[in-house]
Amino acid sequence: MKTLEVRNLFKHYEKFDLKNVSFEIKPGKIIGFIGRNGAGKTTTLKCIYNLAKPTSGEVLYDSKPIIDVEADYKQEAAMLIGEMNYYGTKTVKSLTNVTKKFYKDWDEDLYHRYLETFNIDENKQIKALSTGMKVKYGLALALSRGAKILLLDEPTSGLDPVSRDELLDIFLDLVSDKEHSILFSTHVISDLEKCADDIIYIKKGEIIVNESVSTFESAYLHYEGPSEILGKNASKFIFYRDRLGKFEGIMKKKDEIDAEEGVEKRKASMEEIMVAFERGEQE
Amino acid sequence: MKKLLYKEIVLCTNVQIILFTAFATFILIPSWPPAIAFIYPLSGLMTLFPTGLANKDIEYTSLLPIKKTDIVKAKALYLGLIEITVLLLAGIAGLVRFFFYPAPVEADQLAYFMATRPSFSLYGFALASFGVMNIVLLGMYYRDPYKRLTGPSIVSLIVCMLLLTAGTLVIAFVPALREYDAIGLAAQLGTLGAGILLFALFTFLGYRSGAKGFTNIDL
Repeated sequence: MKTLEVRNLFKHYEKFDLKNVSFEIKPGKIIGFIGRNGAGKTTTLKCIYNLAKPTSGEVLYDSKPIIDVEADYKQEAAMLIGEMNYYGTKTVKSLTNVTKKFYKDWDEDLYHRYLETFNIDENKQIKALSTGMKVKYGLALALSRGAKILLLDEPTSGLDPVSRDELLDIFLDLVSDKEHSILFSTHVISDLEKCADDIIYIKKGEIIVNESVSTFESAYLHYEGPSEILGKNASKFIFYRDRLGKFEGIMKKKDEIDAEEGVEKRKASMEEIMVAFERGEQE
Repeated sequence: MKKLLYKEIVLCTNVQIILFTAFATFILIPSWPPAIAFIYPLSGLMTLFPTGLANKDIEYTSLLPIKKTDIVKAKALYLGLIEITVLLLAGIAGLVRFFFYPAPVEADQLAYFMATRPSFSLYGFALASFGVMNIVLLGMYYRDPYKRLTGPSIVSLIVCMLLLTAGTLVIAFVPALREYDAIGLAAQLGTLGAGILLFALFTFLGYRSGAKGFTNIDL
C-alpha cells in the first residue's frame, strides 16, 4: 500500500505564501480539501504533482521524492485541474487516442462505460462540449487510466446535482477496494458530507484542520436565539451574528454552554463551521 | 519519448506548419535563390508556440506521466523533425532543379545569386542555421512560456535568416563550396557533415537550455 506524504511544504509567491503544509493520503480514503478562493488549495495540488516547484519541503510517494520517480508516480497518480479544455478543435476520440497511449493500465471498456454514463459523444470537438461535459470527460480519462491516487481540483464544479451525486458514488465505489485514494478540493460542502472520510482545511496558506469529517463536525455547536442571552458568553463564540435582536453563533464543543430558554443548540453544519472559520476574525 | 513525439505530431501540427513546410519545394522556382526554400518554412514553425498556448499544450502535457523536462525534449524533437522534413523536401526538389534545370553557364557573382544551382554546402548551412534557431527559440521560450511568445520567434527567425544569408554569401565567394569537382565535392560534403553535427548539437543545447529554465516555471 503506497502512501503519498506531503512534508513541510512552503511555497513563496510575491503576494501569497504556502506555509508548512503537511499531510498524508492513505489508500482507501477520500479527503476533502477545502478553503476559500486563494487559500492555497490549487498551489498545494500543483506542488503535489510537480507542476509547481516548492520553495522548500518535499512530496514523497512510497517514501521516495516524487521528483526522483516522476514518470512512475504520474502513472499511479492522476491530476485533474478544472475542466478538460485542451486542443479545442480536436475531437474527444482523437484526444483520448493520444492520451491513452501513455498509460499502461488503461482500461478501454471502463472508459467507454464512463462515456456512456456521462453521455459524452466521442465524435464531438472538445470546444463543443459544455463546461460540465468537459469536467466529466476529464474525469472519464482520469478514472480509466488505472490511477491509484486521484488529485482533483474542484471536480464537481460545473456539474448538475444529479451528475455530482453520480460522481460521488463513483468515488465511494473506487475507494472501497482500499487501494485507491482521492484528494479533492471543493467549495460544495455537501459533497464532503456525502463522501469524504477526512477533511483538510486550508486558510491563508496554512492547514488549520486535518481530521476525520465526523470529528470535525462534532467539535462545533450552533446556537440561535434572542440577543440578550449572548451577554457574557460572546467571547466564547468563534463567530456570531447579532442582528435585529436575534443572534446565531458557532462555538467549539469544548467551550459548550447551557442553552437557556428560547435558545436552540445543535451540532453545527460543515458549511456553518467553514463560514465561522473564515468570517470569525471579521465580525 | 516516442509517445510524446506522436502526441506532438497528432495534437500540435497545424495547417500552417504543413503548408509552410511544403514551401520547401520553392527551390523549384527558377531564378529564386535556393535559400528561400529554407526561409519560408520558418513562418510555419513560428505558429507552434502561440497555437500551443491557445490549446493549453503545456498544461495538458504536464499532466501526462512524464518528467517535466520531457515536455521541452519532445518539443525540441518535434522542431527538429519539421526542420529535417524541410531539408528532405528541399533536397528532393533540389535534385530536380540540379538535374533538370539548365545550369548557368559562366555565371558571374550576381547571376550566381539569382540563378545558381543548390549545393550540399547550402544544406549544411541551413542545418546549422536551424540548429542556432532552435537554441534561441527553445532557450528563450521555455524561460517564461506564458509570456514569451513574440520575442523568441522574432529573434530566432532573424538570427536564422542572417545565418542563411551569410551561408549563401560564403558559398558565393568561395567557389569550392559550390563546385562539383573532387575538391569542391569534398568541401561541400564536409560542410554538409558539419551542418548535420552542428544541427544535432545546437538542438540538444537548445533543449538543455529550455529544460533548465522550464524546471523553475510553475505551471
